[in-house]
Amino acid sequence: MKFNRWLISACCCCLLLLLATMSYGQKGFTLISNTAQLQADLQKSAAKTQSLKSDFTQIKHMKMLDDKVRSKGTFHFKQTDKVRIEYSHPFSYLVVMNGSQLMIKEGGKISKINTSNSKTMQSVNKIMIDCMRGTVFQNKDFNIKAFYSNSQYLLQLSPVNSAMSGLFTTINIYLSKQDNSVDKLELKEKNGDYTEMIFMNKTHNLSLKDALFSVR
Amino acid sequence: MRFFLFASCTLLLLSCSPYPILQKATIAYPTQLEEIQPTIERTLYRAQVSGKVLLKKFNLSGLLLFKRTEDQVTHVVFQNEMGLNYFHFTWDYHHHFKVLSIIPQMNRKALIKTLKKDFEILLMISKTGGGITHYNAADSTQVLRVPLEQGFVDYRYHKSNRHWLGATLVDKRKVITTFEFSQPVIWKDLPNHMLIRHRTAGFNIELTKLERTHDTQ
Repeated sequence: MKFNRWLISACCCCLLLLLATMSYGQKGFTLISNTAQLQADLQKSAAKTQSLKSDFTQIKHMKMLDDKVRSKGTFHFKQTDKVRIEYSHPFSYLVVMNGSQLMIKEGGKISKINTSNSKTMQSVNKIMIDCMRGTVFQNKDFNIKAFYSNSQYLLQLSPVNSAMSGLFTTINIYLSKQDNSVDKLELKEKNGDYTEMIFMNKTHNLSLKDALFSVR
Repeated sequence: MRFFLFASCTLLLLSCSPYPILQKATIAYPTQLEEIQPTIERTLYRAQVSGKVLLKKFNLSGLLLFKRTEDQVTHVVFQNEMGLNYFHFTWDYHHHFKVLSIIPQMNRKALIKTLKKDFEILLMISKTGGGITHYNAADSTQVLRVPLEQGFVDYRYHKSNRHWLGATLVDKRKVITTFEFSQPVIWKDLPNHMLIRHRTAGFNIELTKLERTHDTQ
């Protein structure tokens, strides 16, 4: 169904950002005019990361309402294409992506989708894989600018694809310079609202069971 | 939970037959809906929507935020778990409704009309300005009827403690929507848990209030 596909696409977009995040990662930032070295570094880091586990805090900033909604949970990633995002507070909500299969579990109800049935989903999937492989700069669905500060890189993604631009105006990915892993992700919407996800307690290359990423 | 089951069963039975004609009661308070209207500063719900479109089932979930800002505008914002907005509705001081944003997939006139009516019933926003009429219902309950442009809303409340038990939207003696609360609610408050059941619109909304803690604000 179209709406379900849109919903899943939206979730995928968020996931991809997270992935972009985990496999690598304006104030105080300087533009990097030649990103070749950075791209190579990101690919090297991605190749070293077989799995990743992290806690996250998500804060939705609502400009007009001068309000924030916070939630938190855990993130798991395993090469080459397995992701698990589990919200634990203030509600339980689970998203698992395994290859082209995506599963959402909410309040005991499970929704599954095969992403290969939709062009949008394929596009999202491609970006996710690009992010994991450190090839996000080659993705033509985004214009990407890179910046650096003393401690971080900032990747600024501007969607050129209409499916993505309908959801976000800009996506900012803040990467730690230490290991190129994502410190923070910002998803900016047209109305000025934005969602930030802050990643903490990151552990690389743990042995993660495949059962964590089961979509059955 | 028992109350919730009882209310559901009662409403199920009621839905099979025309909405009953009730006996008027002589009760002085309240005379206007504004007197018992929920006082909202900020209330956050976990929302789960389920239904069928063209025989296909769908589920949708997220967070539903009710907030009244300093300019006396009431906002209702529904967003998914990852923060993306589904819609943002407002009602100003004069109860004028506005769609500030809505995703293209939900931007359907009939859907917006249904949701608008749901929230207006829940928030006790009435543009008709018509007075309230009181009726006797079952043994321990009474009904406060508010006329709408089309049909009316019956708010059921407990006779002795005046706790709000639920609401029913009726048009041409047919039940259109029911608001089933899992527990009675004092006037001027919103329920902790409720099920909004649409008889014709093909979807239901379940809302569970989230505690206001530093983690959710």
